[in-house]
Amino acid sequence: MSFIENIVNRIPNKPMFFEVRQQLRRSSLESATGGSNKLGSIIGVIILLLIVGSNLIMSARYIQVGYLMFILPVLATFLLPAMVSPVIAGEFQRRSLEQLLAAPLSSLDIVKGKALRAVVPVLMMLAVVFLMILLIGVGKIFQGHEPENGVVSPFISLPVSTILFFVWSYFVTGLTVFISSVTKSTSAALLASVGILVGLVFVVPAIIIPLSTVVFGPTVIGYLAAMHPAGMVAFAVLRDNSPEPISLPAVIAILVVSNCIYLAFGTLFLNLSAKKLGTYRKTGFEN
Amino acid sequence: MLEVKSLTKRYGQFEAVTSVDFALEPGEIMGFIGSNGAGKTTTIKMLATLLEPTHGTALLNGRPLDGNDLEIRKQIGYMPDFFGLYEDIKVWEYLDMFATLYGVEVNDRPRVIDEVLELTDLGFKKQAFARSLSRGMQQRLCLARCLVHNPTMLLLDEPASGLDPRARAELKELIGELGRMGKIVIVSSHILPELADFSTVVGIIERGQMLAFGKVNDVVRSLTPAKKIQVKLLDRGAEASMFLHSKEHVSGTQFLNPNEFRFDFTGTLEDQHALLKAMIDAGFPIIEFMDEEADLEDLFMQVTKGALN
Repeated sequence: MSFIENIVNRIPNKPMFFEVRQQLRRSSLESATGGSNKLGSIIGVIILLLIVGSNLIMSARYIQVGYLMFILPVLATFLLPAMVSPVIAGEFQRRSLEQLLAAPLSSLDIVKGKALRAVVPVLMMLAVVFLMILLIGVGKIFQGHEPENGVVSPFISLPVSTILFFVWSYFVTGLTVFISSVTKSTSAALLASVGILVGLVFVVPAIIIPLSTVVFGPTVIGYLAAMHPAGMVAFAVLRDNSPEPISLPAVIAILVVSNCIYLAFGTLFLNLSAKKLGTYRKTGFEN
Repeated sequence: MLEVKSLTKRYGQFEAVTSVDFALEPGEIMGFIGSNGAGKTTTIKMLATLLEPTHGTALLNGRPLDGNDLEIRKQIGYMPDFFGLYEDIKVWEYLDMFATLYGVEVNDRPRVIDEVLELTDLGFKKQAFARSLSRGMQQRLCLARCLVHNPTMLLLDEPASGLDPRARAELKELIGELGRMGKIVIVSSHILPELADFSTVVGIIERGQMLAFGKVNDVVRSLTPAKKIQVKLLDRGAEASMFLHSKEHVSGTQFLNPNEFRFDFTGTLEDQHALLKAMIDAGFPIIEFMDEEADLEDLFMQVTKGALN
């Protein structure tokens, strides 16, 4: 049994992981290279990581880690819909959904399993970005930079931004899966989910926040802006630079509330997708 | 045992399936016959728990086929009329995925996959990508997928559509083998000859109503009081026909050629024996004197005639 197959067989035998096994097999170097150049591929990836990593550490003093935290949610906003939008719509188009619905899986198991499969490659890609940011942070420590120099310690910003990133990704995934299950078309699902997310992340803040600031003042709007997926990162990382000092408990409360909201909506959307699949049992697929 | 009672599916005002009743024992293969849109697929989907009946029940070994009961689905193997395969999946991975979904133990999976591949004659394609298979092989793969969890009942919706004659013959053989393995098999088709060979019972559905159900010969007998007997002679065909018409229980002669004809006969087996003996005693040079096998196509046309008019 191959190394990858060993790992695959260690994945818990739970319905939600049913497609992750397949994803792992396909993502493995063995599959990509047909098993012939496995060693060469591994050496190549290690050399690449060493070159990029050492360069990042060398140039770390010129990079602001805090600002890099914005990258992750923005990347998730654009990458996840591209990967997730086909999960249910693609099954409709391929006409493979019936086979899954006939299996002893609940609709929610199917939704979670499909979503997880789509998310895994994105998370793997973003893990590389995360690793790069971590290397910069480590590089800065080695080069003697202190947090009071205007650079937030990666030991604080990294865990915070990681949590925020995963929560935001969960929300984006839930929303996209729901749209995918409603539209039954991959392209329609992609357009609709990217449209909604771009609206949420860029358009709404660009209009509402400046207007609201005039009415409510910067502090209240600062709290509201902090609930924004990118704004909350900025809020957490750069709070010391805000014009009016904000207490640490307030920061924590804002982060907790906003994360709970995104988690709740992500869960709601996943459940709505499952409910939508359930209705096909009553009405049939063609309706 | 499968018991279907008053199974009905309604979409708004339209009744797709109307109060269908039948029962099947283990090992029975039901040929489910009907024209396009007759209600075959709707009935099969209800049995596969993919569609909720508006009314009625279906019990598999006493347990309702309910969409909310995940465990009952482990007893069902469902092959849709059209199915898609994933782009990036190999034959054995496809089976492994469904074996996992149906709860086959990790240590048993390699053996089970090899067994179903052997049964469906796909062992040599184990490492091939599923999408690269021919249509016939994909049908067999889908059937193999239905078998990985060793279901009690198999629901095959138009399994032979789009297959070449050889692939059809292989599929027929395979379905017959499944019946011999003691599984309840329901095979739908609108191509009747493909069902005739292996069906132990037939169900004829038209416009959502089950018009006939039972063993092929029983259904024929119940629908047609007269059976057809075919006679072939060396010569004197016309004379033999006139002779037969002078006897009881004989009517409706139809000549196939001057010395070969068929006629309708309503008598008992004893009457049939007496008729043959009378022909021999009269010196007619008989080569063949035989009952005609029930023809599914004729039967279907006859049964659905009233419904279609």
